[in-house]
Amino acid sequence: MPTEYTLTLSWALTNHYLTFARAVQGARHTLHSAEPPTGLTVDLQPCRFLEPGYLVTLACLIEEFHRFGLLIRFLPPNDLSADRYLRNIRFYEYWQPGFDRSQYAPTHISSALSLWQVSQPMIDSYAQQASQYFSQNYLPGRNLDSLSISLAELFNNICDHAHSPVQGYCLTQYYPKKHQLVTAVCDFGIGIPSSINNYWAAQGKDRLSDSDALRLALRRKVTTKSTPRNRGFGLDNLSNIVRSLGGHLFFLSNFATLKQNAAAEWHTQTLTQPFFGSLIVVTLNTTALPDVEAELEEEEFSF
Amino acid sequence: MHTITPTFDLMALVGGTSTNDEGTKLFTALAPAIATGQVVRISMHGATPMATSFLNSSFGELIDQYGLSAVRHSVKLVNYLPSHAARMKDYLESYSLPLAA
Repeated sequence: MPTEYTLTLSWALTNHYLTFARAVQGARHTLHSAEPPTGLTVDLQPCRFLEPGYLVTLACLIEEFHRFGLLIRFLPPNDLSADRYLRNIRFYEYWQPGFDRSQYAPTHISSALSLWQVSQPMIDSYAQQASQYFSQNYLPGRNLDSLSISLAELFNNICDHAHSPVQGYCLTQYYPKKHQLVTAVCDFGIGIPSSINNYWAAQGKDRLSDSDALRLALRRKVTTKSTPRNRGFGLDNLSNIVRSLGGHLFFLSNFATLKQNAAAEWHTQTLTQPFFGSLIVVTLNTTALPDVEAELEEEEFSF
Repeated sequence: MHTITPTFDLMALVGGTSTNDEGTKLFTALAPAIATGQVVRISMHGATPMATSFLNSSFGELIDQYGLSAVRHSVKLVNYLPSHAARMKDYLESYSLPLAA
């Protein structure tokens, strides 16, 4: 007899992504089983803190249940500040009738930029708006091109490669005390390692482990040719931007994770259970952001 | 005989600098000039940061069709930020590297 599925989040801390991912995959498995549940209850009561990576993954999960026409119910955190945060970013409103998740929906707090369901026509405006928003509100005089480009690379990656049954979600949060801009993007697509390996198989090459495939995906000029114009510069560019600012990069996709630390070292981990999709978390160190540049009006640049 | 060097205002040509579609608009505007070896200036005034997809569909496509040296010869930047020039220079230099996969 089908029943409501309850997803309880009690582990929403950075070092527990894998536990969280397993729980999300469990919920998805139930959704696609012979007897799918009648609805989804997201039990946030134990949560005291929810990072962007959790929220975008959760948003994808809820979106998938919502697409099946199932009811979504939230049990808000007992912690008042966590509940206030979710209300301020309007998380509980997103799957209510009439809410357009693909448009920019202003939050009630200035430190977070709208949870957003990635849509191709809005890629440029969201990417540019993000840098303007944080520049105006928190980082005047700093050049936030790195944020705009990071977002554009992530969004194009989803639209070009992911083949996700639900459009991905993005959230950017500024942590003034930590001097960090954290952007998380998640999709439930085929995953980066699978994308690499599918292309390699078509080329007659041996399959890579998912950890090696993730490492390869970050190298310059590694492409899966998902679209004819792909050249394999996108994720390499993202990695370089993060490295130049001494930031952090985290990938969770299929059977692997990859972390790029502040010294630009890569650490991979092979997982025993897969994450069907990709979660990417970009942490930019705002103390390393360059100043806004002056336009060179008198000079002509030749290549 | 004087040759007039045309100047294209990037942000008047494209609606953004993040996507393949916008890059294609720039390619379409520049291709006739580069095909004939004409020098063109691109005014970068007010230009937003250029994502890889945009560069792939504009300069990458120009290189594929007319060659790297033709693009280097024909394209000049004016009213630019140092980061614009650095980004495009890096892209053009990287383009000549072989594909890794």
